[in-house]
Amino acid sequence: MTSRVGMTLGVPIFVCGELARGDDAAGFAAVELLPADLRERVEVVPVGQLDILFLMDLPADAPCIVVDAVAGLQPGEVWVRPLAALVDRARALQAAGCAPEPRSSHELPLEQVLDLAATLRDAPPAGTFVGIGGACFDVGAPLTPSVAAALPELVAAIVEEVAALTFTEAVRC
Amino acid sequence: MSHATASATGGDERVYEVHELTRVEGEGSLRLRVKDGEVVEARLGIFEAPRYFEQLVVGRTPDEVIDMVARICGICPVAYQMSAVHGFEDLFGVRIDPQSRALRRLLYCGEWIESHALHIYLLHAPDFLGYESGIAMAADHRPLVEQALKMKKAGNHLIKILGGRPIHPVSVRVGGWSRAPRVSELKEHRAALEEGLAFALETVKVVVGFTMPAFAREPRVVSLRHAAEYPFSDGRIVSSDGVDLRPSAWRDAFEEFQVEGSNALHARSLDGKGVYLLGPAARVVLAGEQLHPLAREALAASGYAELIRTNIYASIVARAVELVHAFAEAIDIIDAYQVPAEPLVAWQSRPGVAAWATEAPRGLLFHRYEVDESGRIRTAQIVPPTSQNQAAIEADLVIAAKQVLDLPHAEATHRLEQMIRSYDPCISCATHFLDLRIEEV
Repeated sequence: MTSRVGMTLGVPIFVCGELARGDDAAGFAAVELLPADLRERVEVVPVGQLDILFLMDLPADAPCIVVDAVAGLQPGEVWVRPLAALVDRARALQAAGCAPEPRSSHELPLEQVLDLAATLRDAPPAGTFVGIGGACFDVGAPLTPSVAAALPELVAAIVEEVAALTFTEAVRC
Repeated sequence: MSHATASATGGDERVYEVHELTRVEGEGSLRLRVKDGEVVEARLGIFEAPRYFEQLVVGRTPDEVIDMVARICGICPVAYQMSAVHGFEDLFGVRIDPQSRALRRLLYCGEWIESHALHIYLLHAPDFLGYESGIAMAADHRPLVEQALKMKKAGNHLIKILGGRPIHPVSVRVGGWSRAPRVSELKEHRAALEEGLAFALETVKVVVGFTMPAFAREPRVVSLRHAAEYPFSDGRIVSSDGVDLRPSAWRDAFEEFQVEGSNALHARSLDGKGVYLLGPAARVVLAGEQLHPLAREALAASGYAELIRTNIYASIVARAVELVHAFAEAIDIIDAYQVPAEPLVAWQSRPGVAAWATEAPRGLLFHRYEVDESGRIRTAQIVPPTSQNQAAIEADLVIAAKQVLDLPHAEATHRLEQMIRSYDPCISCATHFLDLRIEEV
């Protein structure tokens, strides 16, 4: 028989984006709406841009959640992927010679940060990316209506991933 | 990989172009045109949008300015704070506690550590080791990249202890600090700095092992120099040919000017000699005798003291030597640290000109503010090192061009990029300027 055993692990939620840039603030808005009891099981870390050092500080196999707005999806579309899948994508793009080029020395694209962490740790970071499609990233703009309306769905996705990552399957005889 | 157009245009004309330079901070481009073996155009294009900081600070108070100018750069915010705060304190006649002064040097050590470690390993080393990025290099040189990240983390953490956060610190104030750290906070970080010092000493050996492309010129170098310490925030502005000024008097010898097609001002000396070089190589040449003994020893053992002056590619060695210095001085400061008796001394504003130059990781950074009767900023001028180095970069492109003409186009273009990266240009810093004029119709 299998049962779920709760373990308080303090899963870090790395919140990416920029508060003052329209839908790029979606991640910050979502973590404000997390249920109080869930906050005891997570550590919300507003990072803006995910730095490799955050991932290098994680113990081996310790999971994390990365939340960010995403350009290219339908506005308000919630998109959940294992971080390992993003590493695979980064490597595929690199192999095809069409990896996105960082335009700043301290702003590597998220997938490349994850790729670097995977290289240095011998394995992709454990955990999940939870994204939401954005429509407007202009300075000073508010969340667009479609993204604001989808915030409950984004919160639910984060809650679900936290639940999945903070409970382990234990086998009982 | 860069977007590059490197083409033979027919006849005796060749054009080397990189539309978006990578592994530099900010958005810039390279264009070099050679006709009949002569360079007819050598341009570091800077197209990143202007950021108007010199207008944003108008009407603000000195303490507000210190926090605002830190936002010019995510890599060297401390430099912006230091040039500003020293300028204001000079104008207002503020004498800070000696331990507060030591903490400011410690803060600068943190910034040099994180900036130099990032540049040496993740931005510049891939050129020497034949990789297109730090990520690609990590697969084959994992210990080097791990070492770099540990050093960068040690520098960032030092800034966090002193400034409240690792980037854009917030505790520097006119008169000292809004909060001075406890002795125990600094001591707890000592072991990481000791480990970093060992990595830094190893770094000098690593970069000395790189093959330096041939390059030779006799540059005019400019930096701060101090009689008793390696230059961070005090000393005099000196050059290899006799300039000797107070840190407030940069405008007595230099000026900024607009260049068509660039969103960053250039700079030149008023004596008509024009081009000059700033940065780690300039500091090592002009102030090398004040390096920490461990750094001086590492420099001597490297055998690069002369090459650092004449070969721009060897600036990576100067940067590594300064990495040693920053770690070693940081440890010394922590060992001698006592909480300042008066972390924040009282001061009074007075109208006038607040001006000062300090040494950012990339070189001399000059600020000048006119302060009005109400203690607010009337005008501002910020002259970052990358603006000042642009002319030197373009002059070096001309020299480098002659040395790459026989190489295949792609390799030649890469070599030119490598040369630009030797300057560690921070284009985002360089585009803070431009007069903002709004005409109401």
